[in-house]
Amino acid sequence: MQLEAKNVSCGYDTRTVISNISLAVNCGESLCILGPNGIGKTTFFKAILGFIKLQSGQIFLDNEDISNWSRRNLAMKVGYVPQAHNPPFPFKVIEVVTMGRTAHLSFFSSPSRKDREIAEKALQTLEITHLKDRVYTQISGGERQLVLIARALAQQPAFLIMDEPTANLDFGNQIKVLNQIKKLVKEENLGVIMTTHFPNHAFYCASKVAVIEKGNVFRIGTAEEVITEDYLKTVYGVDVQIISVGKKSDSLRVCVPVSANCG
Amino acid sequence: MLKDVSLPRGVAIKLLLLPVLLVVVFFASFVIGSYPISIETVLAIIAGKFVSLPHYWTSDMETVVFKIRLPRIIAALLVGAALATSGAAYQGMFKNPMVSPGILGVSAGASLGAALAILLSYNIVGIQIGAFAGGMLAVTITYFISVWLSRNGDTMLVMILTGIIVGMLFSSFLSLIKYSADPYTKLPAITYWLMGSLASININDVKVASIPIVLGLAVLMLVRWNLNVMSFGEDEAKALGVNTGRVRLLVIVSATMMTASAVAISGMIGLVGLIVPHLARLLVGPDYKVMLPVAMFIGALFLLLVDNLARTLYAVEIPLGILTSLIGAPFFLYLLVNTKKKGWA
Repeated sequence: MQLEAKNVSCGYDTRTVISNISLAVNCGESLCILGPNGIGKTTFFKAILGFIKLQSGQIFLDNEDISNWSRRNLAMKVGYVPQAHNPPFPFKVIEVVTMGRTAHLSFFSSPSRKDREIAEKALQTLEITHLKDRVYTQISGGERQLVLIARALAQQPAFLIMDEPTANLDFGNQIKVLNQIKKLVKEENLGVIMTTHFPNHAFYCASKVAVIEKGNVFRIGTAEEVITEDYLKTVYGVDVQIISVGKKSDSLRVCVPVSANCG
Repeated sequence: MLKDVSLPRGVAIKLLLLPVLLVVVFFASFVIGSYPISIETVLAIIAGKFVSLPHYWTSDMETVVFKIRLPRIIAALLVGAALATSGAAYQGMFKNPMVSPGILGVSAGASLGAALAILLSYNIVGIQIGAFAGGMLAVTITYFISVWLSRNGDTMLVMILTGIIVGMLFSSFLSLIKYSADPYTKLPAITYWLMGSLASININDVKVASIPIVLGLAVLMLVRWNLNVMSFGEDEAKALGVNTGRVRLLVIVSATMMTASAVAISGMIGLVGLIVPHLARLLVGPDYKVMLPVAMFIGALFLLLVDNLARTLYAVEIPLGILTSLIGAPFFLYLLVNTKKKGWA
């Protein structure tokens, strides 16, 4: 299955934030979108998820234009993992995850035992079954992020859209979340589109990387092709060196800042 | 009682206990009042309607039970259930625990409508129609202004703000009417009406008001799962597959119909719609699947109990609207202090 954006422009009212972007993701692939603050990554996600109307272009799921799809049909194919925030009421983790089943329920019904079992399985997949009866508002930010991923899994979509899944997490939790994403792509054959501010995260877990620069310059390719020292210099204005670590066969690229001026 | 919130078995017992308690209080309420009738007689009188029994009671007693106490008891149940359920639904939909059923202006609109009807010397039916129409009008204005304003933004927040402003506008018109009303006849009538009371209720009021209230309750119960999802915010609800526009319209229409009908027969009764949802959450947790029916039962029970007090505390009736706040506010503060759970449980 393929999620494809074709010549998409989007924004608010008459202002265009993203113009003429085309990209495609297949199931079993992860696409990492990199770009500085305010460049329109979240706006692009809003457009894919149908929160805002496209100004031009189309979005296809398996060559079918989704612009007239109902919320429910779209939710069965595309799940959304927002940045974790506090809801006003102290729901239990299992209740939050069960909400992922909403798209599969008829408008007037509530989840059944079967839906609850699917939610519990999603908790198992992410290895957070121990959180099941904890109160969602009282667990840590990293745990909450994992719970939101579990909720999206309970939705049983083919694609996941993740808005900075590693934002506000400590170092350990960042890697845990990235490992889970890698696992979902590999073992559950999900297609993932995520944004991040860390080039190293893109090197670590993305099969494709898209970078958006100022003036709507847009490039897509493998991490090695797209994230270059030149790119990081032009976009962020910092001197960076990209090096390879590990054995030749499965080496990992990382970028490290080199301080040129301040010793 | 509040400690075993996490136990599903405890929740199940509470769910069974509430309707039982409601039935007990329902029958007990017939006994209360200045005209003494024993519980056996009450039960016999009611049973006499369905099976033939020897008539050992006076016809006065039957009149008190059916014409005076029954309408009042049912009205208290309906109004309590309506206010508590619509308050709970709004709190979820607006993802805000401080919201009450009047947030979109329905109470202010209903007050204005009733006051206008009193000023123009309409009878009680006219006042009720005025209240209902005023409430519906205020919310309609709020709804269309906020939908138009929030094409790209956070509809919920815009709606709350618009509701507050529309409410204020209607309240200022109400003040204007009070100011211009005859201070010896009309002004006291308006003031007493606004205090809220079920003293002058009759069976016809109950019949008419029960239609929109029962209908609204049914709709809210049917869509209650969506309220869970809506409390995470509009975008997340959409991404989870909820048609947020449709849920919002259904909830607002239902809650407004219910609240406007409640206010039309009872006047202003504060606090029930704000605190009963919190009581329900303290008791069974925030999941609307369980919490909304529980809020409905507690609301009905609470208002019936308070109305019983209103009719018996003093020789002269204390307005129900005053008593609900007088009893509800300290009780709720007590619960908050005694609950160790963090957040708006």
